[in-house]
Amino acid sequence: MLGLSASGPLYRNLVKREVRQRYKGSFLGLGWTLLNPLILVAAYSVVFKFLFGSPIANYALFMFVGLIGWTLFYGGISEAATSLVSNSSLVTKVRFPREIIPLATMTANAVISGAMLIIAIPLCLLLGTGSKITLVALPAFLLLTLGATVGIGLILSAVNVYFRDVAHILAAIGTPLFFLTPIFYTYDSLPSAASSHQVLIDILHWGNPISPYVITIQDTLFFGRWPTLADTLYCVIAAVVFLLIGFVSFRRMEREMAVEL
Amino acid sequence: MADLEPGQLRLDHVSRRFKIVHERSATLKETVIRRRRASYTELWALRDVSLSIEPGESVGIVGRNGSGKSTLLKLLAGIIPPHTGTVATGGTVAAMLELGAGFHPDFSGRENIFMNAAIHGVSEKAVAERLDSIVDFAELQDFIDMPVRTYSSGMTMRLAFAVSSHVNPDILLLDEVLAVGDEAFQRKCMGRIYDFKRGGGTLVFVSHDPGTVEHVCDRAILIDGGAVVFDGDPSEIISRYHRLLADEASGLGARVDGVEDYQEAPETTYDPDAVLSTDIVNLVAARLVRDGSPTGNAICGADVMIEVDLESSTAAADAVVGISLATETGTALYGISTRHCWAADEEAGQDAIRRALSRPGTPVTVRLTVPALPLQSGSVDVYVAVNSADETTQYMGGRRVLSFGVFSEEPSLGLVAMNAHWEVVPQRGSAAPRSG
Repeated sequence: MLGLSASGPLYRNLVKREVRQRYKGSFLGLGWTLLNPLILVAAYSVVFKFLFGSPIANYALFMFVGLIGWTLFYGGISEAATSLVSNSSLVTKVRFPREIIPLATMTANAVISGAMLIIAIPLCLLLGTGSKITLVALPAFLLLTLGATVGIGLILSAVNVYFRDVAHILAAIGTPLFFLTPIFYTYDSLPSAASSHQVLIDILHWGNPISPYVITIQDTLFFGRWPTLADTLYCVIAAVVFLLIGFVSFRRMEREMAVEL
Repeated sequence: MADLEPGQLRLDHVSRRFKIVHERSATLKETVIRRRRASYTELWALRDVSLSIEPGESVGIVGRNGSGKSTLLKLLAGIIPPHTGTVATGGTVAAMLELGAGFHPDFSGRENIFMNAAIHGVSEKAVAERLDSIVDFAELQDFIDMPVRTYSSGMTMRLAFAVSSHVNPDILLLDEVLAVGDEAFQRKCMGRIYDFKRGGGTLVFVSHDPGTVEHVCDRAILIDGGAVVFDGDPSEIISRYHRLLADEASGLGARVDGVEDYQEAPETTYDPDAVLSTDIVNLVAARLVRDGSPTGNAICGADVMIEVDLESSTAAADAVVGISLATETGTALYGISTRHCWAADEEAGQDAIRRALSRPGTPVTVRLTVPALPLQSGSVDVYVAVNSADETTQYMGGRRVLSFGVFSEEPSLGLVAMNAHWEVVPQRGSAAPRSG
């Protein structure tokens, strides 16, 4: 940990570089971070609000909020997974705590999710029908999401050094996982036929580590209600466990990285 | 680690091995499906090396390609861990294993300065204070806000060295970085390194040019086969090194296709684009012959012959063989192909080569004789390549086939034995009156 604090300047520079690099040379620049989800939201609104008649009010905003959780989590771990390989020239030529690279990548991703949040918060305050007080719990749940992301991201980034398949697997499961996460639906807004599949819904709810984090963000930001105890406990325990496993396993895999890259 | 003072380095019985995996299994599928992992050879890059370097020392590490010197530097830099033993360093360490590591081409020179300095742990504030000095040193005042991808390689190199040399560490590790750049910039880098030494910094410098080590360092270490074979006065290093190369060249076979040579073999000079490369012609053996028998070294002013045995696997009916000589640092000394310079009938000679190489399995020996070798003390690498006559196909990629040392009694300096001589010339006009 001592080495981590000495690497402050490197961490800051890497974050800056990651954020700027993502949209360097494009006309809209950071505008794309907002335009991308907005296009997605528009298309999904047409399908699920108007064609399938989802009962959720302010459907577009609801989905936008879900996307924040998704981007923070899945965006973070998939960027982290490839981060060490794409910065191999640093890893093989310079000594520094290697965690810095995936951590900086995930921080940059969090900055981008933060930009979405800045749009979402005033809109939720304006259009939200629930209580506004639950917003005070939002930072805590965002931090828990970030914790779980960092833990999983560290593991994936290190494993990807030794087995490059990790990045491919992540890319392949991206879209299926998106559908299996309650982003454009909620478990209580499903068609009545779904209620006979309660076991399946439970599996989707607790088996996909992203779901509870997205649900708690939707609860506190969009619905204005307190998250359930089960969701809250899940978020806390999973974040702690992933963080611990993440840092410990990264340390173990770190040693031979320069040789493998 | 804490008990070392800044600038101290300790290696205690350090060994490091690498696996040379014949077929790399870098995917999950391969590892899961195959019970056993892909076959590999273990290569001990360093074996039981113990070393102690004191603050303010400047140490040069010399060794031929694959001797383990770069591994040693990476261990000192903490980039790879040892398998056995301990490595300890005191104070801050800056490693320049590759100039411009971490440079991002799309960012400006200025942005890359901050990034690169951050890699070495220098804060933004400290960089801002040294920014002008860095830009001045790199001579990039007019280009500093342009993206690094628009820089020439020389400019990139200057910027990289400028940043690294402004880090002011307790220990500076250098790997061959001075072999690049033009001469003026090399001199400037040397000046910077002398400043660093005067300031009391510890310098560890890897080179395969013992001459530079003799100039820069006050202690020299010769590494071979992963072990320290000499540790002492730099003035001895040149002769020690050449003796080593000479011994090595005598036992040729192992050297030609040794694993070590693949690791950091110098690049060949032909243009790889537009050339189809094949392995139609194989090298059987190569040797240096002096006074009628194979030898590992040559003597300045004496005749020497380079003999190369080649064999083709399929017919190569229009083969041209090229041989070139270069110094250890890659400076070209001489190059010639079998198109020219035949002792006897040129047509007949070229014909003989083609006939042999058009019959697979029939070896042919080509011999290049160098009369009165006009080279001074040093080490020479010999490269051989075989191309088709129209140079569209490469029958055998250019490769180093042997190295030999040159011994010279000449008191003069430089690469070339010029056989020059002095005399005093009488002054015109002011001289003694002439008759007539």
